[in-house]
Amino acid sequence: MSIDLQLDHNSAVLPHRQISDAIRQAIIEGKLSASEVLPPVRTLAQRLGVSRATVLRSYGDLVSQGYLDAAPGRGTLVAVRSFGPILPASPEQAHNCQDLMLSPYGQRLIQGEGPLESESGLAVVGRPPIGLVPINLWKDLICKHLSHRSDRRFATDRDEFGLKPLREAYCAYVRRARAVNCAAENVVVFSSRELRLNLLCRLLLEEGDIVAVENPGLPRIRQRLWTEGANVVPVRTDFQGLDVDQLKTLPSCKLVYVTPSHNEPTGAVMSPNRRRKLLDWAADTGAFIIEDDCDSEFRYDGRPLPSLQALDTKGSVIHISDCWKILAPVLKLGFMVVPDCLIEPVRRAKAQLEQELPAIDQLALTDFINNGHYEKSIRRLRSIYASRRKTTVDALKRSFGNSILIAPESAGLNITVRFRSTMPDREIVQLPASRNLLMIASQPYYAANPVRGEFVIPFAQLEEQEIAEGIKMLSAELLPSALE
Amino acid sequence: MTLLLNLEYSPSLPPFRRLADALRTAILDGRLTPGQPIPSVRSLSATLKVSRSTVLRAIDDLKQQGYLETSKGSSTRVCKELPPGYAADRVQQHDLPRVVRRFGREVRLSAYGNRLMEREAAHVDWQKIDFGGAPSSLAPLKLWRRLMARQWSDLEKLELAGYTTDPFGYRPLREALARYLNRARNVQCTAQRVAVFGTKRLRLDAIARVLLNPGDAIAFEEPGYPEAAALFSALGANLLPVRVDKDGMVVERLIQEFDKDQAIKLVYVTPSHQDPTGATLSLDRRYRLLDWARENRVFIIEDDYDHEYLYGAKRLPSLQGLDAGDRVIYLSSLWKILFPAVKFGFMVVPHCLEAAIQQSKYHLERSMPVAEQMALADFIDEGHLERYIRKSQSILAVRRRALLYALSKHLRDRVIIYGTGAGTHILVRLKTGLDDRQVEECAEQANLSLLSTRPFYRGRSPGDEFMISFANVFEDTVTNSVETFGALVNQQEMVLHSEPGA
Repeated sequence: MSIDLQLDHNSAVLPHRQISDAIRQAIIEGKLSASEVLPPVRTLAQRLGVSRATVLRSYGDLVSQGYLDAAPGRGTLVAVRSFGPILPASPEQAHNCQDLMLSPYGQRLIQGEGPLESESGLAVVGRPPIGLVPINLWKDLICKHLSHRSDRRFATDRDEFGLKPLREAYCAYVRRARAVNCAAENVVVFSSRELRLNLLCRLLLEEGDIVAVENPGLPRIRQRLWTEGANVVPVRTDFQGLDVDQLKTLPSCKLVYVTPSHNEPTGAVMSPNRRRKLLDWAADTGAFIIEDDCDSEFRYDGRPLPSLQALDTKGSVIHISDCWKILAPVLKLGFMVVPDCLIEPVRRAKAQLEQELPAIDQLALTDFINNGHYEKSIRRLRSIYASRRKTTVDALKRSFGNSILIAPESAGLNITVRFRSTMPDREIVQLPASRNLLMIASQPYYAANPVRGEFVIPFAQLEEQEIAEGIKMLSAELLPSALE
Repeated sequence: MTLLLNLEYSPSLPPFRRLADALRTAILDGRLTPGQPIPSVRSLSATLKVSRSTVLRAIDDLKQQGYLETSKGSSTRVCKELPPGYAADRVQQHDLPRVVRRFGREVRLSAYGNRLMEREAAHVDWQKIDFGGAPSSLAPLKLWRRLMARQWSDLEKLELAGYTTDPFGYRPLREALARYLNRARNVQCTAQRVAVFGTKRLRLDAIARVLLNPGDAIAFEEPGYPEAAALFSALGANLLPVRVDKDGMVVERLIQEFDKDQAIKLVYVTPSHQDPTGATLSLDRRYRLLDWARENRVFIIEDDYDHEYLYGAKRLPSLQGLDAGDRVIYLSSLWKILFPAVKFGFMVVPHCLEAAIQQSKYHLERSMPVAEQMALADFIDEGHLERYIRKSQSILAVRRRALLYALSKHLRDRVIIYGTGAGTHILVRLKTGLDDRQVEECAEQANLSLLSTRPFYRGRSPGDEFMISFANVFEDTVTNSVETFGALVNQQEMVLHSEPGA
């Protein structure tokens, strides 16, 4: 590459931003010409002393902005296009924007912060590193179904809830692995995972209705619920999960969003006692519970707990999960298991919004589950992640000893740590080592009362060597200055 | 195989007993089916964190009770024949509820939910006309497979594309689309304003929810696409029907009648091939509609769902391409080309709505599968799309002629044919003594792709009006089909006449 890329480790600009800015500048100035090949991710990462994920993010940003292309077999290269700046709306049009007469929903969308910064930091979380995605197997399944001219089959099975065989396969899986109590009729396949919450909110909520969420909990979910017009109330969540007693003090709550199998970021698993209390509360008040069970398969020790839905006898729980953790980014189907009383309303709403689901993906996934690949993939990922987690914990303990607290629950794809440090969080996440570890402050997870010195490390994304080196570096950068 | 059992909630029993009970419950609940192998001892002990001897004891227990069996050299399975008293057990023993019917529970739905429950949307059996006339028998699936297969070899590219979080989709695909739509439809846009949607309906929802309040008015073609009507109604919009003639939506009427009474926020229109009449919106009306929309700050949804195939008629530029006021939201898809392999829909967003629709898309569908988007970008960029359209056009032209000939030959003065200039279906009026449903039944028996236009009318339908698809017609069989259809209709009419009181 004909440009000299230097990283400023002391800069406040994140490294991936620095890299993409430099490359973009070089393209605009003509230092990099069309079709010029950029160094492979691994090479550049090594040269700059950053993680692969950092380089991937900068290349990814540039591809999505149209500056770079990824060409099969050739690597990443400068796109053959003219790069005028994207035309801003003319002043006249900007004026129009003010009286677009948007609906309240539209206005909230515009006012909202947009995709959260924290989320862009966590964009990697939840997906498997690409090297662990069973790409070849998936390709074979897709090609197999593309080669049958089986439109008749899609045609007769066309159904807003998804292909029957897939629903049966998934139903058998969640019954087996998560003890979810359902029949195939309760299973709804979504081509868009986001649509699940969107659909439930508009079906169940009026503007201003109270929805309870965990605090701390997923920031993205709070934002989505707020956009849907909900009055989002954060409820204290400790190491036993959501505090149901606090929930009971709310005047009227229509919906609760919980992650009983594994809270982000604390990793807390909801205790059996709290589960019962939550279900009783829902049965009494008629509220619905959304159980987000997405990464529940990743528990590394301790006995796996069945889903909350498994204990529900009153039809209060809506169970959601997906295959993102195994097949991202090639497959984006999501699943929802609805209680009987919601089947018909959900069917009607689904028919309005998403009737034609990708047939080939559904057929391929059916085979994937039925042939046992799904569980095999989970097992494989689990053992890899378990050892990455262990490496992380060991390295952290070795380097930090008593000046660090590590969340005890051994589950999920992130690990939450607390440093006893005098250095401000803002500065800690800016350390080159933190960036290599993709470490972020846990503050966005808190709707109120964030904890100082608490950080999330997405260990599942990093190779063991990267983890060990990163943590060693972190201790070198952090220790002398500030640890108590 | 992973099997998760619930051992947590009966703590007074010894572990092996709890495991045996849980396994039996799994069998009785049907989670493990007769003949199915159970997970190995090692795997059970690992997932449930109990010792192997506990697992062995539990399995032994269940073998004695006749629930499990081990044949030599193979794994332990659930017995094909479960012990007697199985049904009784089913009721008594399991402490986990089986799938309980819960219709009794009261559900408080939102106003939106209640609107949905009040009235089910008119059902359109698209299968009758090959899913809106998608010539799926012509779909280039082999080519598509090749393009798809190509995408998996480069992991870095897949990973990169997977990292891009723009809710409007994979950038190179959007660029390919912007160029194609500009070439083919005179659509004026940069890739920035092209949005890719995984499914078609979400496009309408993304627009409507951002713009419409319950009670807002939306002008809608009469007859018009029923599924769009249902979506808008469910959102609480007030549908204003505007008549359609041979030049498409009667824009003059829209301007004269509705402007003063009620503020209209949106117009939904299918200008290149009106759904279902097949009319093309005239150039004059296009300009009038655009001027009126600009003055009154109304947005226009141009659904260009069926622009690919034209038979002799003049091709008019899209409304979007003529629009100088930033009022048109352009929709299109490759439904008529790659169905059923690809179900993406596209939208070209006006400048002023870019931010709002981007957000709205983010909340509906944040990302789409990458391999399909990459393959589609190649499909367009390498010229396959236009080549394929040309090729199918000539095949479809033959099919269309064959159908028209057969209809006029065998149905003669029973049939009036119109709306034949474009697309993959024609519109006919059939003079029979039968009702629409009976006509549809005759057609189905005769293997003719025919659908009544009744669901397309919000008001009273004229009746006797049908769409006939020639997308999957074969020259040598269509004459037969039409002839059989004619005969069946005759026969049905005779039956009706011979019945007393008919």
